[in-house]
Amino acid sequence: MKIGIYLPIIAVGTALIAIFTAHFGFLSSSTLEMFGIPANLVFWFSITLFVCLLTIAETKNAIKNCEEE
Amino acid sequence: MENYLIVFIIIYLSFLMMYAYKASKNNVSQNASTYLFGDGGFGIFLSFLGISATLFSTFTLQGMPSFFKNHGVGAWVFLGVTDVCLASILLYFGLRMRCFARSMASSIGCNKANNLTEIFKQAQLSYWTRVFFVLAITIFIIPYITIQVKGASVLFQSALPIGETHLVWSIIIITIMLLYSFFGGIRAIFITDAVQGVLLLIVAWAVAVFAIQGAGSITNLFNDASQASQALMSTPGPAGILTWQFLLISFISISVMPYVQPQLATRVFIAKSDKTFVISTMALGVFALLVIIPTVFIGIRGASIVGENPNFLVNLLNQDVPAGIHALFIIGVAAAAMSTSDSQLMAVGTEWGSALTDQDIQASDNARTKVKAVSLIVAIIALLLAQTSFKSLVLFAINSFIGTSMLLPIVIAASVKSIIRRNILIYSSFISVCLFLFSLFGVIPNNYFDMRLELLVYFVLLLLIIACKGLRIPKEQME
Repeated sequence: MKIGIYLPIIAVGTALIAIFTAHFGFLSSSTLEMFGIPANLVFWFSITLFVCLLTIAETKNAIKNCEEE
Repeated sequence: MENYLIVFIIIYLSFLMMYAYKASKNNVSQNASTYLFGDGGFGIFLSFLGISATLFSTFTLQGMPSFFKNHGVGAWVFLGVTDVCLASILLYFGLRMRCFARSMASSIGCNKANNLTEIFKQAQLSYWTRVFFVLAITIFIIPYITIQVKGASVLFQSALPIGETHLVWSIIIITIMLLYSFFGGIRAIFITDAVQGVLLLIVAWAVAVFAIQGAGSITNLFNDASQASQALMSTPGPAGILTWQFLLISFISISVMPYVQPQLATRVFIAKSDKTFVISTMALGVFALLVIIPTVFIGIRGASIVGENPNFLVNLLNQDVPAGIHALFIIGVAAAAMSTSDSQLMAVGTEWGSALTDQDIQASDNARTKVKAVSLIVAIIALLLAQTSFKSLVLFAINSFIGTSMLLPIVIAASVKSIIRRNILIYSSFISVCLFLFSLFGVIPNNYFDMRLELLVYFVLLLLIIACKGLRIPKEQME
């Protein structure tokens, strides 16, 4: 079964983006709200959801490559 | 609420006792391999819920809402981002770990290892390396089991007091956990964990829905909290704790848990097939997302609730949540505590049983007795420690994660052939753990050049791992 190395790299990259946007206050000081939720929380949730969906997509690829056991 | 709680406690404990009794009937026929690793592996459903329930502890139901309440929305980066990324990273490295265990077993012609210490033995790491690894794991896992037991028993005691302290509830929780673990082995743990995992998810969402209803809407929920403290809506939060250093240390220490903490590593090894492992890991990522979302609403609602009890959760449960759900929440906390602690007790017992002998634990006649003896000793220590007081439930748990993460070089050393490189990794891990323990006890400072010691240690370990292991990715087929 093959699975892409890009998946952990993107996951680590996403986590670093989340950590450093938290540090540098990207959207933090903003009073912008999306759906009544602070914009920074919406942003962090969105990138988490992105990683989750990417994992699901990669799982589908991995299963396709998997031989009958 | 008490009546509901009594009914739920009777149903929940009856299920666990009934399962312990049922498992005891099949107990005699089980060999060590079946008892410790569920010979033949576990399917998708049990693998996914087994690893999820083990990963998400009382910290999810109590610690996370508390983190959102005290430190605001930035807490999502601390655990929401981290846990979903953990699943993504595990999908790749977990498969490599399974592949390594298979190739190691076939190259030396023995049983496939299903626990870390057995891998170390097959890789011919020294006896003292194995003992150090298991000793360090034990030192860091005991506090975690302790806070689990304490968290659940204190909540039970506040809702349904028995005596003056939470001691009786601690004894009840540990006794039942040991009963079904001892009688049924890992299969009993997986099945009870599956039920407990589902319960955890249902309870978290039920309380979150009532918290939103209590506020009126999601918009009101965040507005009320921002009026209580505007700092909750941004990082680093009112107490200034969510700095990049804290978040990065948390991310690294939590992400490496499946490779260093034996209860999780064993679950990676014993999934029935790679396909089962891949699907259950993907499901873990989804479960992580689903279980952490409701803790945001619970915690943020808690920030604007005023009540008599010093514990905001008790105030929230009293004000917003119907009695039946309140009672179910308490059962959910107990379920979360037991599903994590039972796996940890069994895993620590298995690693010690494996570390102290050169024989393969799966072929050992007295493995079960050894595992039970160690689990019992660790449980008693945790029970005694649970009667003492700790300043912060969350920060103590974090320290356990950090401590175990510094053992990663030893796990990697098992895959390195050069003795010199192997020793560099082992000694670097030993020195890192010692430095971390010294800083915890205040023997050495925790900050150097405005950087936390843990971060500097991680940086050095990363360089050493790259130097000793290399970055080349083998092109072999995984299966």
